[in-house]
Amino acid sequence: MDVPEDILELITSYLSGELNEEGIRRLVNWLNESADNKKLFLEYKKAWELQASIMEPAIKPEEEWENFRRKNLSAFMKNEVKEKRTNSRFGQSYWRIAASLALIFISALAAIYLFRNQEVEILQTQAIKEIFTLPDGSIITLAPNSKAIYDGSYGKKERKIMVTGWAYIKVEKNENLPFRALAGNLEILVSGTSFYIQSSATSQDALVVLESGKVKAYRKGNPSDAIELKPGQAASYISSKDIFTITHPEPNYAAWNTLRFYFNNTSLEEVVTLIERAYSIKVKLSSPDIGTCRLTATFDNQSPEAILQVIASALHLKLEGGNTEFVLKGMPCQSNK
Amino acid sequence: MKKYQPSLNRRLTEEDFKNLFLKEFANLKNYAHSIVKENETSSDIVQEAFLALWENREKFENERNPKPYLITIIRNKSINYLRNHKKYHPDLEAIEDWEQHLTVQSTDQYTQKQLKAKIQETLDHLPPKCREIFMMNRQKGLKYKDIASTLGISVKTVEAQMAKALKAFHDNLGEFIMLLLAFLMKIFF
Repeated sequence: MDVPEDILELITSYLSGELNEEGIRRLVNWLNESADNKKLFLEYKKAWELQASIMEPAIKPEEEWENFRRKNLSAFMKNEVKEKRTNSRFGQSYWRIAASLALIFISALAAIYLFRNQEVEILQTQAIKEIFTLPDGSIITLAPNSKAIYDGSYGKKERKIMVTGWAYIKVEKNENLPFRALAGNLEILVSGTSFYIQSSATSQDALVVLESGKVKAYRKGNPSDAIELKPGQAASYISSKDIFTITHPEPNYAAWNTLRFYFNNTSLEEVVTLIERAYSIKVKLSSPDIGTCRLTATFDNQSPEAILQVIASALHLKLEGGNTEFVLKGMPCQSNK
Repeated sequence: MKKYQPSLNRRLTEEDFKNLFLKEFANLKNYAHSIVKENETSSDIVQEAFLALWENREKFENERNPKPYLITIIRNKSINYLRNHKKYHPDLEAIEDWEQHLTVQSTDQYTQKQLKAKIQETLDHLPPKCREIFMMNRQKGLKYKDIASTLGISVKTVEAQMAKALKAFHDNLGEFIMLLLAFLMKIFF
């Protein structure tokens, strides 16, 4: 496949920051014509980044720091040394580094084992959820801080994808190409359906919730023990007990994707955790006691601010902050503990 | 259900701040650059974000991690920059996946050497005029219109020559694009 010359010029100008409004509009129109066009664009983009990694002067943080300091001298006090040091943090962060290195190592092994084929696509989200289309037209929605990988064999003999974090997958129906999703120690096999799947980043714990169609869920590598799920059912693997079982999903499992919340006498602590995750915001409680307040309410696709405002007035709390950081202040609830 | 990580009960000192700056600057700049596509603009944006962090450091007392704050500011500033210059399109944001640039992308020395050799080879095989234009843009950081007026040619010609250079890199670097992907896998997992 070749990119037409005029489009290649648009791509190059775009990557070098030279494309104007009209050019960007034309480029986007071309990109939206097909998934192949997008793929070609990303290849050229990678080529561009590779040459830039060699051709462009390396970033020098030390020099940038000096510039920064010089420019903003007034913002800095000279009494920095007077700060008290607490060395205990260092110990803690070493542990964290060691733990995350171990995790990277284990996951790398798992990924290498699963995807012997070298060509690997990685889908990854940071602060916001994102929707991706897989080569076969299946659609995967990744929650914030989640990832999915698949390799070049995807869609040839089968469709195999590995998920960490939360994902919602709508599988394009194709009886000839079984779809396998792997999350922690859980493996599921489907032909066309939609389901939520989740795995922990730190253990083999995993959960699948079926929305429509049929899925078979089993412990990784043991399709003979498969449990068949009906819509609305969930299966989870609990690594600490090595149990694989059918469960009822908790009511807000899909909230990160649908932004619909059902709270029924739910503790504020739990409410806040769900909202924080769904919107990638932070909500602090002025004291942990408030966390035991209970709330019954439903919210559908409202802004986090609007939801928190309702919660605040329902529980006689005061909402402060805005944007991505909020604080709920007030007295603990007594009557409805 | 577990909630907040234990807070570190201390202030963000200048020493912490400097360490954070040195540690995160390159990644954050790559992130800003992936959005605005301009070298100096991306440095400026990251510096502005760090300044905002420093000025609001009280908010980060007892806080665990200022990085998401920096990322949000950089993202907003970068998108505003694009908007102000009429260069923003939401579809490009979705296609490009800017966030991936927040992760260190480096390769081992051997691969780096090979990549360098391949890029040099590609450069050597570019037609002289194409190479000259490409170097003026990538190494000296000249804008297309400055290159055009220096060489007495049209901007259209500069565009065409730059595209020619990119095609050559694309066609010659296929194996490295694969390697990069394989390496990314190890970093992420």
